[in-house]
Amino acid sequence: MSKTILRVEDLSVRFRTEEGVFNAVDNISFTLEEQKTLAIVGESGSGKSVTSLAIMQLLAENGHISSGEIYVDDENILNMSSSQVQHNILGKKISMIFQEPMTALNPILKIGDQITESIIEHQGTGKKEAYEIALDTLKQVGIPSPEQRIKQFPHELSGGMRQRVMIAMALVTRPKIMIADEPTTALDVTIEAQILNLIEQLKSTFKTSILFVTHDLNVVADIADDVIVMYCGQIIERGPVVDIFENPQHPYTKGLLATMPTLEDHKGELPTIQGGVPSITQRPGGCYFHPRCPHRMKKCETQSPGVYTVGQQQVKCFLFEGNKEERNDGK
Amino acid sequence: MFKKNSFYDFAYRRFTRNRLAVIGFAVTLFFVIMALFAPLIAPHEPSEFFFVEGQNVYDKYAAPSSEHLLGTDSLGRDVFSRLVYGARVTMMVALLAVSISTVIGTVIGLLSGYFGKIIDNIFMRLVDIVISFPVLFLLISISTIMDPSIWIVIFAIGFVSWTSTARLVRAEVLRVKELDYIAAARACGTSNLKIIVKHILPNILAPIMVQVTIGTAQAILMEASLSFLGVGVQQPTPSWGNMLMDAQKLLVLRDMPWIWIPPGVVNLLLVLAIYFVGDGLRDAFDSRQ
Amino acid sequence: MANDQILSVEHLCKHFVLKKSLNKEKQVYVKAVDDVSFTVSKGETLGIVGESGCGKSTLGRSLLRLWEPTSGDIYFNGENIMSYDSRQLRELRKDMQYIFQDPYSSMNPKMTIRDIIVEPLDNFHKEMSSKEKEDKVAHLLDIVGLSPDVMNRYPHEFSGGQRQRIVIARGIALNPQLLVCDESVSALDVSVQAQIINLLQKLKKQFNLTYLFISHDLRVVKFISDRIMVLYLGQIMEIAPSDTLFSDPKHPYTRSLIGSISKGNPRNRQERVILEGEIPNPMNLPKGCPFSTRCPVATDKCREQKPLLRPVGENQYASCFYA
Repeated sequence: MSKTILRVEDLSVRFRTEEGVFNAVDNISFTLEEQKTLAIVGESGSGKSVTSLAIMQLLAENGHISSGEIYVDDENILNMSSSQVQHNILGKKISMIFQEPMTALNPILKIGDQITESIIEHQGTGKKEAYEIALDTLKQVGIPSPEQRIKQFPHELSGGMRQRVMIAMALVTRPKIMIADEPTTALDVTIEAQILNLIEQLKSTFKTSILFVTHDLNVVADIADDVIVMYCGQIIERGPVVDIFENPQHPYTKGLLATMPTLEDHKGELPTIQGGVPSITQRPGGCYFHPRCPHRMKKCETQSPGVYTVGQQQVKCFLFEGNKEERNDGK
Repeated sequence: MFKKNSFYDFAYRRFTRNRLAVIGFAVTLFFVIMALFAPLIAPHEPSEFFFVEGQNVYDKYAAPSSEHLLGTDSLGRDVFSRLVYGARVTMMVALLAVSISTVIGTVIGLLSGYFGKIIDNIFMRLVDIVISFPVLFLLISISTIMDPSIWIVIFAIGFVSWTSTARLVRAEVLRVKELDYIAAARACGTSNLKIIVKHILPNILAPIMVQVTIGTAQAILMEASLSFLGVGVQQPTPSWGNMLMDAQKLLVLRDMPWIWIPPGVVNLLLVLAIYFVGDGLRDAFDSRQ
Repeated sequence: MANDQILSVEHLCKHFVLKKSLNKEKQVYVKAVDDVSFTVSKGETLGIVGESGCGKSTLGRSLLRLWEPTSGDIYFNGENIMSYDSRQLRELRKDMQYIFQDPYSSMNPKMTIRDIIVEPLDNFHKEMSSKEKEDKVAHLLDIVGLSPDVMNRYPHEFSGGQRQRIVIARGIALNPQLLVCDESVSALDVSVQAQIINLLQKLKKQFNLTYLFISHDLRVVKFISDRIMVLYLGQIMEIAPSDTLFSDPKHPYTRSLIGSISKGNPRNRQERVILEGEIPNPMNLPKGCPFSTRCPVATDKCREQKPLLRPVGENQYASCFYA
């Protein structure tokens, strides 16, 4: 088995709002192995983005990590001082690319300045050397005529180009982990295909591990090794990508996969999951999915199910109560 | 579950959590009550002249005493009573002037923003003209030609201060106009007038309310300056502005602080309080927009 | 054939002027919709797909004259609506409705659900009593799968899917013949998207509707449409029955578009077709075929001349010299 590079244990994230305090992420654990791609998939309010922001320590002001540990290379970054995390972890061992590169790039700085800044900061190189590295990285992410692009401002680039710049910025420090939060959601299909290809290709060049956060199961099918399915802040199913797609166990995962229209020929009615995702303020008791679940039982309304092993998968559902129970959410 | 539109519920909760805004509101309320109940609060009539006991001489410039809490002014009138009644005049002038400017500004801003093109051009040039008009000169000329009256002051302030409201409303309309629900209303056959009244106006009410509070504060200041210069509210009607006129005399300014400090201080307090309310409203409305 | 045409669009253009100038030569335009012609039959669903900036939403809005087209003709049930004055245009709203992408922004946040749905009735059915209108609103809510109890609530109290149902209820309130759905399911969660697609399908049968279904999502368009039109930079690249378009795409752009979507099968990760380059700046269109800058088979001819839309198969049209 390959080496674990990121280990999250019992992570909970709380948000204070006008209406009270809520758990956006509820006691989740997972690991990311070296040179693997782990996809976190979920709908709105599933806590998938909050998870990635928590790891990057980028939570909004009203949110905080209420419990849990985050190990990067076997070091718990939650025990480090914020300056230590800033200098040794973020941008160096982990970097992140965002959904909307326009807002993640500083609009008044040239592309080149933004990239070299992080190189100088993390690698202590001189300006000239940093410039060379920046140019080289831009070339690697497939930006045509990088000598010109490096002198441009973010708004002068198209969405796809900006996302490439973001990826270049994430890569200059040669991080071990790259967190990609919906990196292709804002892009057109043809550009999405380009960017996904690029991410795959860079992953093998730089031997990076990728935590890929998305709502799009089709993207997951194309790039993930392992999949975590989240619903209302909890992990409800996890497993290798092939098992999840061919043999989903949790009623929610099954429903999600069934509701996607495919290119195969079928008209008529799409299978659906009834109801909608409850908002964070209106989560039901027991299993959060029970009001929408076709298999709900009496106890689903009051008790939160444990996590049971089914083949290669772990499923948080009472349907599998007979199976071996995991001690907690973790592997 | 929710009966009221929770936008205003939310704003109310945010406003009440803003300490400065609540203090501002309390101070404003205090002055409003003072204005409303002036006859009950003031010990004397505001224009009543007092005489030195036993003589046929005005009791001018009397220092504060139990009889005259804040002393008397240059004509022997009770400063405290004038201050209380002055709140009435000052606030009436400000509120009526703001009503005028808000109505004009909102209508012009709505039309300008919604219809755009030539209408917008005409109204915006009008705004430029009004802004560049020398208000003081206008007022001094009017007050020399016509009999000075409180109504002239009200209309003058109202007619010169609608421009910022018009610009604000226009900008808000331009923002809201592009939203899908306006297109949706048009797509289901709603008329222009109905779109303006039912869809646009309710959605720009919050910034207009902020503008009204700030406009009130500005109108109070404007009234004070005009009256101080003698072209505003005329004697014997008391206003906080014309009470300051006495301070134009060096003697008063140097030796009789009871005559000019109180109207100056209440003016400052009220304007500051209203500004705090305005800021509080702005923050309260901001969160969910 | 001609008789069951509900909509016929001829040489429709919508140009946005970016830089005004008295000298027409110097004006800078974006040709968001450029010489588009097509027809829609009664009861049909025509899907309109394309990437951002292809003009699909502009086309949708221009068809209802929500945005005034620059030139061209639009025949609705045989009448040219381009000649309508504003009064006739308002009457037309009864028959053509528009469902927006974001249901939240297409509802006035200060109005209750009742007021929102009643608005079209207020505009056109002044004869209805308020009791009748209320009953009608309750009925419409029931049709779209919501309880009439929600009438007194405000848009922000609902989830995305419920909001889209409310917007759809408003859209069908006047019994329109044609519904333009502009990315109507794109902003929804996957699990909710399917519900709304099913609802739209159900309504189509129930009320004999014709849909123009605008979306960037090829899977959804494939599922819902009878025919599909592919737009690129404001021009029609290909238009064909949806099965034909996917089984036998003729235009190189359609081919790359279909090839670039994931098959959703982790066991069979065939290489996606990668279309190189980016969409050109719409202010500065290529002289010939708009796709020539990215096309894998483009020749000099493509860069010089603009190919016209021509039949390339049964009911299939493409604008490519080599299709």
